[in-house]
Order: sequence, then structure tokens, then C-alpha cells
Amino acid sequence: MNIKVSLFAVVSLIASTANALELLDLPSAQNRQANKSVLLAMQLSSAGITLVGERGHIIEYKNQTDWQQSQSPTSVTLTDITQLSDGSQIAVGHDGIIIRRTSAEPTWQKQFDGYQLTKLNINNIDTRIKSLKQQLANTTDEISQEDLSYAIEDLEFAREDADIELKDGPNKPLLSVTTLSDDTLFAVGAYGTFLKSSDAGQSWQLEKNKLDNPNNFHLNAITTGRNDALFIVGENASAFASYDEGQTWQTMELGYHGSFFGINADSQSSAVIAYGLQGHIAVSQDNGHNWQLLSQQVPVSLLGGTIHNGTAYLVGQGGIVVSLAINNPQALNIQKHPSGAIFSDVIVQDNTLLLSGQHGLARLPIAP
Amino acid sequence: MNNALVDNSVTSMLRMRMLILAIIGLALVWLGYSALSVKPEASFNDMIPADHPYIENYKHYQKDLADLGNVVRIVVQSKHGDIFDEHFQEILKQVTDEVFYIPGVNRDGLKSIWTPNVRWQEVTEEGFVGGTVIPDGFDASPSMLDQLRTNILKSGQVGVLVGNDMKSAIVLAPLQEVNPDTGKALDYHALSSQLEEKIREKYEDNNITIRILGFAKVVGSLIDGAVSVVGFFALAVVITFIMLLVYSRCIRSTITVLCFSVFAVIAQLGVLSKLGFGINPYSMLVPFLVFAIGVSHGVQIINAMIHARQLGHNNHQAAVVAFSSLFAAGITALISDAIGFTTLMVIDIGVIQELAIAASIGVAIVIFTNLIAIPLVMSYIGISKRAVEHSRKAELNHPLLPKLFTRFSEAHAAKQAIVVALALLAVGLYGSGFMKIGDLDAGAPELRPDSRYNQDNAYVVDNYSSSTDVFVVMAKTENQQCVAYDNLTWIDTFSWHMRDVEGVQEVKSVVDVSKLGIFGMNEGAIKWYGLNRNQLMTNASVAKAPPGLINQTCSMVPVLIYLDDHKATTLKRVGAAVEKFIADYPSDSLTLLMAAGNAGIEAATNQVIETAQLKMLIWVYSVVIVLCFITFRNLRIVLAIILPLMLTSILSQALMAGLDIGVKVATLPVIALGVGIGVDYGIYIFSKINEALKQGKSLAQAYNFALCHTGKAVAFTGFTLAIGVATWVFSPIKFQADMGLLLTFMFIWNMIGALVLTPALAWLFGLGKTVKSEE
Repeated sequence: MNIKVSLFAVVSLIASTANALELLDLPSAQNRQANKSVLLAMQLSSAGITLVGERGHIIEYKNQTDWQQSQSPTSVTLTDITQLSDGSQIAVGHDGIIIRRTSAEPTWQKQFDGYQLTKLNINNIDTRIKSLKQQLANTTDEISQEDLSYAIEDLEFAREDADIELKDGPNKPLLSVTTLSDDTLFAVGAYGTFLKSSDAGQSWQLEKNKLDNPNNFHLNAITTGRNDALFIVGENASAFASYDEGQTWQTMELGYHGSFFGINADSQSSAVIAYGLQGHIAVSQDNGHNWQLLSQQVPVSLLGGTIHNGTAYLVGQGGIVVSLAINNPQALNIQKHPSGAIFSDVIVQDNTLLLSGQHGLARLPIAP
Repeated sequence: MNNALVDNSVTSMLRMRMLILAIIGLALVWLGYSALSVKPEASFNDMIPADHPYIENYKHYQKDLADLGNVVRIVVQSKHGDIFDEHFQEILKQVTDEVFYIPGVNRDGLKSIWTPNVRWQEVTEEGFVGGTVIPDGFDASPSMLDQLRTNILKSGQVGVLVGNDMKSAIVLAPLQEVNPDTGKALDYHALSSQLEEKIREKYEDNNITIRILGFAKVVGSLIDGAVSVVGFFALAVVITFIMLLVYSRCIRSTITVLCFSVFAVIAQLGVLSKLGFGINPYSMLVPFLVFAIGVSHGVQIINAMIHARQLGHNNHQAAVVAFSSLFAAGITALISDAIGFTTLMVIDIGVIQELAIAASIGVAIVIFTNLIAIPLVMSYIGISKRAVEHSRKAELNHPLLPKLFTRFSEAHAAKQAIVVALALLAVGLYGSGFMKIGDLDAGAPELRPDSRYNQDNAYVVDNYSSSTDVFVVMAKTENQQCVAYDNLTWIDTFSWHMRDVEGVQEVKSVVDVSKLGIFGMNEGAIKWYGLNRNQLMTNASVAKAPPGLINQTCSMVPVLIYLDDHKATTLKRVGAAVEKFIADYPSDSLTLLMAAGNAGIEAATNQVIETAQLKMLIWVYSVVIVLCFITFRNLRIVLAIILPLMLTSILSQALMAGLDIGVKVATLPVIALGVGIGVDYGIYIFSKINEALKQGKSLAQAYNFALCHTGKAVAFTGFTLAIGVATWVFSPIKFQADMGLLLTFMFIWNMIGALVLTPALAWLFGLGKTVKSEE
């Protein structure tokens, strides 16, 4: 009885003092201008196009002009969306949110958020500290001892940060999500966040230890290639590939030391294309084993792309749209969308490029 | 008023006429001298309701908001090509330099693509890089112009400082309300003239158009427009002169009446100047009214003297008769005018209060110049024989007015008049239901839609991204807490709440700067677009926030709500939406305060006007009713005088609805003025009817008597007043034209009401019968 009372007291105390809006759990309000908000990613489905973006907006276009806003359980920015074989959709976003819609449950529901992610990170840190401390106790080599002490110290700092995050709330955005043919899901995000779900997005495990990313660089994009190969690119030339459905990962060398923001793999060939800061583009013709960095011809950063019928379309800052034949990547065709908006995703539909970004959805006919 | 008292005072005044005229003369000379120094003015603060909570909030943060509020935008537009042209850039540079040196411009805040505070920025492997928009060593070569184009795109100034079509660029100059060197308030008129001379006249050529926008320019145009109204005054005087002459056929009395009416105007301006007031575009109306009121009372006196002369009195005796028979009615009428105007003081808007003061003073002066001085002067100079003859003949041959109007005091025509009046009342009530509050036109509603200023405004609205109608909500926090994550999420939620409101185009605040800053700091990866709980990152994201989006102590964030227009319905909807958000999302740490920005201030003005309208009507009618009651001591007479005025008030509201004239600062006083002056007709007519009724005459006989004695003067007065204000319809200032139109309508209708409806109502209330039976 006593415990119940005191618990109640604590909860009501939090409710009255912490008079803040938790955007993670604030359902996104219907808005007549939602289609003009920053929309970051899109997904073609049988019903039309689904776009996700800031303020938890989920917009569905049935045709060129008619749109409606789906109910969304969150008001944080949604950054990416993907679809499972049964038509279920998964979207990820800021503060570690993951939401899902299935045919059985047609309204979007939260599955995971940054509070859980912080706990997963803390468990991971604690486990690693424990194992490093054991190694330290078992080793006699002085240099190894020193290395281990530093590693433990780093982890202890990370643990302190995680504790602060536990108190203040999560702040790590998830930036990209992809699926395998068996509907296994992978999501990547800021500070090396890497998650996997084997139950269609209901529960998620932390997989960051599988990547060699000691500096916790941001992982900007993940994509699925031929034969369920997986590719990840990120900050400071971070790039990883897996050819065993995410069991093991190897580092890729793309030939540029700056950040990559996106990566796409061709479903019809073994071509893979990665792109990023200052318009740098790297192409692989052998499923990510060997890479060729193209000469820099694009003046601004490239943020999103797609490959359609052997042509890669890349979009980015200043309304830029770059197209190139994936098997002959030297000749670049550069266009600018008249709006000059920043775009972060592109898909091809009916010989038209659909561009999502700073001011919502835009269209650009494909030059013949 | 006690008859003996009136007679006594009239007699003693006549005895001392020399002395009284000398005193009035000296006073006129003294006031005339100070009238020379009266200046046209237009002050922003006087046009807004100072005690409204919106305005108090705005005033509290006025300094912090300076950058958002009082700015001048100078658009340099290329007529044929685009801005990537040597000549264009040279002109733009020179305009930027020239504006820098214009007094009143806040030089730190001056912005154009040629100023160093406007920069482009991008993210590279090394982090942020950037520079001035104009490339170093700019020589207008094709490669430099190409570089310029790239820089402009990267600077994010398209739609802000550069037109969406790249055919124009803006020089943005914030103003300083107070000159820091001299401590003097900014002289808007001087600034506006300097902008015309040093910028528009100097730099406009075959290839370049200059457009100038901003409150300072509106004020400049208002003052220029108001000065042109002086010409209308001359026109009104000339027309009145001709009408008076045709009416009286006596050049002596015509000149006397005109002179003393003009003297009244001069004295009124003199008093204003002594009180430290200037003359603003609103109170500009007052001299016209004072002149017209002066003439109308002068005409009553001349009319009465002509009648007295016809009865065989000499000039001196005629003056005495006119003086004593009209003194009571005249004083009552003028006092009710003056008090009627004074009721405008209940409206908490400076210009309306100034107008009330000016009009009340003017009317008080008319008592001396016209009611007293004219009969005294006329007792010396007399009416010409020709005028007396003309009047006699006219009355014998064409007793037009009595013939036309006497019937309205008899059953048949009275019934018809009342039925028609009821029908009009129904129409009026229906129509007035559509009356709208506030300004209904786009741009600067003070000026005409096709004025140069509004054309310039329309150009900017069409070619730049941001609307010129801005409603600012101030989000107040504890010191140094303005960018705390919890406060920013609140403001962001508020911003989206407002974006959903119909009529809202865009909402901007430091929240947007933070979101842009956060993805900018993450190498321009737009997927980071959003607020971040990491306070260090958030602080860094707003480090480069442009001035004006956070105040100095970081305790207030202005949220700028850009609107489609500033129609009252839009402003009301926006205000209500803000209230709803405050109620739905209560916050401990954040208070949302309305309102600044032109739309916020207009919203406050509309609210004041909406409540003031009823308040003012109640006041002005109460005053007029009480005064009429004191004069006539008969409720039925009071009703017979007041009801026609009410009909006119309702009809003029319907007229406003029909002509799309909103109830606003300019039109609000018009109804009070119309009622205040309109009551004069009824008072003059009833003073004569009463006189006849007391002699035992029937209502029809009494009304016939009144029409013979004062009817012509009443009709004449109606037309004189109408002509005085009708010239305003041609004013370059929209609201002056609206005022002129409405007043003309009210003066004419009030006159018709007094001649037709007042006797009909008198019949309805059985006035003649009772007075008879009482005796």
C-alpha cells in the first residue's frame, strides 16, 4: 500500500513539474499544409505513394494532386520508410522512433523508441565493460593492459553520456531502414546506431558491435542489394557490406575520405552506387567489392537516389538532379529543379521523377 | 432655456457689441498667428489603441522587435532583363550606399546582396564555408556574374532579398524610431521625401524601376495626400460662396458669413497649435466641418434677419430679433455638436481622440465667431434691400418648401412617410448586418488600391516569398531559456497549429533556424531536420540566428505568422486560433503573448473598434437625447427628432456594407459626427414648431410656420455641409474619400429626415393636439 502511494506521488510530481511536450508520443496533428512540410522519404505501394517527414507527417498521394494525412502516433521527424512482403510498412525517425502499419492493424503504431535504444546501449556498454575488465584481469602484457584501460575509460564516458540521455531523453535519429527478402529488418542511425528486427519490426536488437565503427560515426544509409547483400554508408567514409544476411560485416573502401549520405544497389545487375558530400559519387560493378570514385562534377552534396532501368537518379541540395547510366558512369547529366529545394529521396513513376524534400513532393519529367 | 435669461444676455451683449467684437477680433489675430505654425503630421502610435493588451505587449518588446517592424524596403527592379547585369548591379550598389547615409536608417541592420552581413554558406569536408554574396573583385564579367548567381542561390536570399524571378533585388533598411544623436523622434515625412529625392528620382531610368515600401512611405504618402486636401477646402469655400449668394442675394451678409466661418477654422487651427497638436490626415476633416457648421449657423441668422426686415424692422432691430430668437436653439445645437464629438473620446485611439478634441474646439469657437459675432456685425452693416425684396418675392411666388413638406405633418402623407421609413429601416437593418470590421483592401488600406504605393506593394507580394501581412506572437520564457529544447518543441507545435489555420501562409521563428542549423551542422544531411534534445547542439544551431529572432536576454522568441491578407475575419480567426492553442497546451515555462506586426496591431485596432462602435453610439445618442430633452422638456419631441437620426445611422451602416467600406479608425467617428450635426436640423425646426404650437396653432400650421421661417435655412445647411465634405471623395487618401462619402450621405439624409420624418412622427405622437389640450 505504501509503495503504491509513494509511486503515485512520484508519477504525479513528474506530471506536474515536467510540463513539457514529448514529441515522441504526441500524435501528429492533421494539418492543411502538411503536404508542404519537409518530407524525407517515400515508398511506392499499391495504394499510391506514402511519404514521411517532419512532425511525424505521413502523407499519402493517391494521384498527382489528391493527398491525405495518415494518423501518426508521433510528432518527431520521420526519416525513412520501407515495405515488407505482405505490404506492411515500417518507418523510422528521430529520437530512435520506429512505427509500423500492417494489414491487420491499419493505423500506425509505435514499436520502438529512443528510450529503449538508450537502455539497449547501456546494456551493451555494461556487457563490454565487464568483458574488457575480465580481459584486463587476465592479461599481463603491459601494452595490452594500457589499451584495455583506455578502452574501458572510453566506455565509461559513453556510459555517463547514456545516463544523461536516460534522464533528458533520447536524441539519436534513426536515418535509414531496409529489409531482406525474408522480411528481416535493419535500421541505422546517428552515432553508429545499428538495429535489427526478426519479427517484422515488433522488437529490435542492437547490432552495433558487428560493425568495426570504433568512433561511432553516423550511419547515414542502408540498402539491400542483389542476393540480399547489405550495404551501409556513413560519416567520414564509413562503409560496410554483408553478404550473409547481416551475420558478418566487412569494411568497404570507396576512395573518398568524406561522408556518404546514400547508397543504392541495382536489382538487375551487380551495380552499386554511393554518393555524398560535395557531390562525390562512387560506383561498384561487382556488388560492392571494388569501387571506382568518379571525378567530381557535381558542386553540391547528394542526399538520395534510386536506380531505374539501368539509370541512377541522384538528388541533393539546391534542387540538383543527377542521372547516369549505371554501367557507364562517366557521363553525368545534371539538372536543377526550378524550386531549388533540397531533395532527399527520388523514385521513378510513369516516366516522371518524384522528388521528396524541403517543400514536400515535387515532380520532374525524365528527359528523353 | 429660460427666455428672460436669453433676452437679458442678448440685450447686454448688444449693448457691449463694440467691446465684444474687439475682444473676438483680438483673439482671432492672436490665434491666427499661432495657426501659421500648425504642421501636418502622422504618427504611428496615434493610430493604434495604446491601452489594448496586444499593444502593451508589443510596446514592452518594441526594441527587441525593431528589426521586424519598422523597415523600409527599396526594390530595385530591372525593367527588361534580370539582375545579372553590370548596370543593374552598379545601381543596386549605389542605392545601398545612398540608403546607408539617409538619417533614420539603422546602418547595422541595412541589408542587400551588396552588404557584408548577407552571406552564402555551404558544408564541405572541412565544415562550413561561406562568404559575401558579391564575389571578391567583382567586375561584372560573365564568370563573375555566374559566380554571383551561384552565391545568391546558396545564400537562401531568393524570395527574400532577391525576387523569385531574379528580376529585382531589395535593399532592406530598418529604421530607428529615435535618432540616437539628437534624441529626436524620426521625422517620417522628411525620410519619405529623402527616399523620393535621393533614391527614386535619382536612380529610376529606362532600365530601372524603384519601388519603395514601408510604414515610413505610407506616412509620407498620407501627409502628401492630406496636403492636397487643402485645395478642396478652397473649392468648398468657393462653392459655398456661390450658394450663399444665390440664396441670400446679399453680398454683404454672404461675405460676413464666409469670413467668420473661415475665421472659425483659423482660430480652431490656432488653438490646436497652442495645445501642441498638429493636424493629421484624420483631423483634416475638422476644418471642413467647422466651416460648414459655421456657415449653416450664419445662414440661420441671416435668414432670421431677412424675415425680421420683411416684417418692417430696421437692420439693428432685425439683428436683435434674429439674435434673440436663435440664440437658444443655436447654443443648444452647437453644444450638442460639441458634446457629441466629445463622446469620441471614449475610443482609445489617439487620432480619433485628437479629432474629437479638434472638432469640439472648432464648434465651441463657432459659438463666438458665428452665433455671437455675426449678428453683432450684421447689426452694423445690415441686410441689403435687394435681399429682403428677393426673399419677399420668392415667398409670394414660390413657397416651395412649405408647399412640398407641410403635408408631412398631416395624416395622409405622415402615414406614407412612416411606412416608407419603416421599409427603409428594414432594408437598413438587413444591409447593416453585412457591415465588416477593419480594412478590406490589400496593401496599405489607407491609400487607394491603385496608388503608387499599393502597386509597389503588389509587386513585392507577387515576386517575393513572404507576405507583407505579418502577425507576430511573442513567446516569453525565463531569462536564457528561450532556446531550451522543451520551449522550442512548444513553439514548433504552436507553429504547426497556426499553419493549419485558414489564411496563414507560413510561420517562421528561431525554431526554423534551429532545425536548419542542426542539419547544417550534420554536414547538410537533411534527414537531421528537426529539433534536437541535445541542448549543446541546439544552442550551437541557433548561434548564427539573424537578429530579431531572439531578444538580448534570450527570454522572448517572436513567432512570425505570415497571412494571406489583413481582413478582419482573417485576423479574428488567427487570434482565436492562438487563444485555442494557449488553452489546449498550457505551459509552465512559456507564455504566448499577442501581438505585434502590422496584422497584430490591426487585430488590436479592430477589437477596439468593434467594442467602441456600440459604446460610441450609446454615448452620442444619450448626450443628444439629454440635450434635446433639456431644451424641449417633452419626450415626444425628443423622439421625433432622434428617430430620424437613428434611421440615417442604420442606413449609413448599410451603405458601408454595400460599398465595402469597413468600420475602421477613419469611418468610426463618422457616425458620431453625423448624429452630432444632424440633430441641428431637428432642433431648429422644432424650436419654430414649438413657438407656433404655443400660440395655439395646429401641428400643420405650426410646421408650415417653421418651414417658412427656418425650412429654407435647414435645406440650405444640409447642402452646404454636404458640399463641404463631398469634395473629399476625390482625396488621394482612401479613408478620407470614405469619410467624405459617408458624411455627405448622412448630412443629406438627416436633412430629409428632419423635413419629412420629424413632422410625420410629430403627427404620430399627436403633438399638436396635446399641446392644445394642455393649454
